[in-house]
Amino acid sequence: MLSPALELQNVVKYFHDIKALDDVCLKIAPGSIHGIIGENGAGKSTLLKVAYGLINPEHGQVFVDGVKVNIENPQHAIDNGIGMLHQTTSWLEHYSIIDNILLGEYNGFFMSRKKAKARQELEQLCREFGFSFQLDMLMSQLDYSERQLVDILRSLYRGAKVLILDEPMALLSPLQSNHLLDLLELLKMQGISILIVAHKLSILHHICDVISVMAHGKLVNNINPKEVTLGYLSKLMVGREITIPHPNSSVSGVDRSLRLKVSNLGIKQKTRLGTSRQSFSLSDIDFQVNSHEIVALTGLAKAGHENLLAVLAGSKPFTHGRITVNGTRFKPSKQYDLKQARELRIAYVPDPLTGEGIVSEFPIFETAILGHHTESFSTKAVYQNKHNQQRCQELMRDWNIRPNNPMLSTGALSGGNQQKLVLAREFSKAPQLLLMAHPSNGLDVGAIESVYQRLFKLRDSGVSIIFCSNDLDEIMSLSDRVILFERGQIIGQYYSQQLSKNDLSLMLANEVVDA
Amino acid sequence: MDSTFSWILLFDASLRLATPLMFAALAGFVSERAGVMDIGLEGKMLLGAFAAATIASVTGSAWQGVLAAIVITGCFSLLHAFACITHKGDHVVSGLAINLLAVAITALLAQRIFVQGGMTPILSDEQRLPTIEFPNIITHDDSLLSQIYWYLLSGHNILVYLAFIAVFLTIYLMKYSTWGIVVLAAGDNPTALKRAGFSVSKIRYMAVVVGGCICGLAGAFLSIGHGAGFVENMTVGKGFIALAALIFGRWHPIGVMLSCLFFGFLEALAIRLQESRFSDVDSVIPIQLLEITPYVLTLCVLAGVIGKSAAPATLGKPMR
Repeated sequence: MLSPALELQNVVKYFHDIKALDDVCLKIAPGSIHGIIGENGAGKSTLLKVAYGLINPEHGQVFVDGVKVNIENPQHAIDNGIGMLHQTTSWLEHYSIIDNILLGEYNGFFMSRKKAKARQELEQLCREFGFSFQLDMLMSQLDYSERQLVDILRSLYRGAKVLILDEPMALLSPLQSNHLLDLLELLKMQGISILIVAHKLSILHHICDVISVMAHGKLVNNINPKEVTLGYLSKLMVGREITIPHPNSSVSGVDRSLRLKVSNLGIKQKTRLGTSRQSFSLSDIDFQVNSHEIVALTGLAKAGHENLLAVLAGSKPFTHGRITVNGTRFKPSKQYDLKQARELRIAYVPDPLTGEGIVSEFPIFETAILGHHTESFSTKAVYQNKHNQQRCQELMRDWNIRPNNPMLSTGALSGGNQQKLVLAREFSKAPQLLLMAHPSNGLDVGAIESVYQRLFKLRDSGVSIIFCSNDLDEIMSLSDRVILFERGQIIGQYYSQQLSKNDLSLMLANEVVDA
Repeated sequence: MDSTFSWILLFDASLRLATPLMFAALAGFVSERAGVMDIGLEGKMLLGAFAAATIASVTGSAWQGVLAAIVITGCFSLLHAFACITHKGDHVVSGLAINLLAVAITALLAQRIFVQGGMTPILSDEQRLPTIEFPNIITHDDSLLSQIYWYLLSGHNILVYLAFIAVFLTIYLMKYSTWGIVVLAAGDNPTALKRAGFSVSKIRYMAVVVGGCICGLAGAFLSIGHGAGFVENMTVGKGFIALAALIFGRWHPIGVMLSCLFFGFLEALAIRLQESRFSDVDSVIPIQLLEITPYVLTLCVLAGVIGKSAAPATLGKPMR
């Protein structure tokens, strides 16, 4: 039998007395796609970081092709043929793709000599795997999915035999994520082993050869996805059966009142001197949202739905049109901002990947009252912190945020738990209008289900909810109404129950053909 | 004296006065581009000046003095790097500590060694760095070209020319060498650098120490190039003006060079106006106004009056 392409043995890692990884052993067969699933904070990302040398474990060995290697930093990992696609990409924005890829590759002092040879190799790789970008394009011109592809290209160029992917699909549109999956299949055929962490069980179930289940820092199970159903997989992970899509029965026979009216809204972009043409990043936005309603905003990348959400939350200014919230009308001026929105009981959950919702240096209990510091203020300053800590602990228990210690810094939480914390904070303020950008990003299926249940309950109690998402499953199961965007304009509004997932994906795909 | 000639002499003085600023600002440039704030330029310059004068006076060799200056300032920036990078300390506090330490320790040691009231002995010409005379390809006459050649370009201290070479070398290295990209990345996006397999700490260490060594040249120029000995607190805020030039030059070598020259010119002008017997110009421009100009301009840049600030993204923030 062939020795495994990558093997981790007895890995143990502590974070402040908390065992993040507890004696984990993992074997990845050569040329296979190996998935890892687990609840938020189960230690998946930590394990990947150990394999790439970003975190040094207290104990444990790494074997590559059966040979014991010492991986203390990313350079060691790269030397041993391990490449990683990070959850958030990080590049030098003002340099070209080729310079970014070659960064770290240079051994000599001057780069020009090697560059020509590297360019040939890279172009060859681009042709082979169908990457469409030009090597001389600046990093800042690329969108998120292209940046990911650059990450993969770099790993390939550096001769990676094992590719580690951390939540690669989280921000991709369905089309882009299909493209990525095809690419993974192609890589697998080239003999590259792939280790992937993702929350979309259906995708993992479809592509993986082996799936490992992690819980509380331990590897509890290895299964062959071909032998089990998707439902069984989710049951293994969260300990109960989860029905997908989530049942959503919209309320009927209630008194709907107008909550939000947006008329003729637009954002004029700053034009450069000398150009008379005006460009709009949003234009002619007209829609209404009633109480007892969940509305999804969707579109391809940069279609404007994310901008609109930020405008409604008051974090971005608008230049044209009117916003009417609960009968109060706002013109495009400075009076409509985050604070004003908060006073109108609008809660906003920003895109988790921007990190706008948290301050990672703050202790958790501070983050849990961000933006509401004044409300929870009492004159007894001495008791203030204690009070907030207690409240936070209750909140964390309620939302199953682990580790349950309000004194830890927020950055120590896993991505999913950070998002849960932000959701918990905004939900607890009893909003009338809830705005969310990619609400389930980074959450595991169990957490998603419980968030959805809470959202449905909020909706039934009369709250209006607007969220933007690229995840068709999420849109189909969560929303009552879908608004489609393209190039800063609304191109259609549909009731979700009269729509199938297929219709929606076709409508989104058609935009691509048009564009 | 005719007016063209006096202008040429003014520019000539500006070059001399801009040289220590250029070295110090370049030192700050290298360190700050890698993400480590360098407020200790003033102190390191002073240490460099003291070391250069002392060694030159003891050994009689100016070049050994320069070497001593480089070594001493390199050591102190190693201290700065140790505090800021290894122990993730506050960059401003560490730099400030170096400034305070430098003023005290140089005065103390100078007094202990030479017993001349905190000064080193006046250095003879052999103990100072040589000046460079240009080859005799243009005859001495009253033409403008000849005046520029002989009075403005030729006859400066060797470090003056080295300062310009250093600026262009820096531009070249930043643009075309591996080190350039890596140092810029360490300041702008250390995460990307780490993922590419570099040790961010190592790179920042190197940048800070290289910066410190360049700063030693600024000090050496003051005490054994332009001057002839060390005087207590002889930098009188030049390190801070260099810092201002770095910000005013928007963290770009060319910008830094031009702002150093401009600040040097202002200083030369202030001195000239103080000296001038016919002080009708003095009544128009108060000297104090010229002296505060560098700081006012820097404030304007920091306040964003002249475009957006171009500071390295992670300047002053330790790598987590």
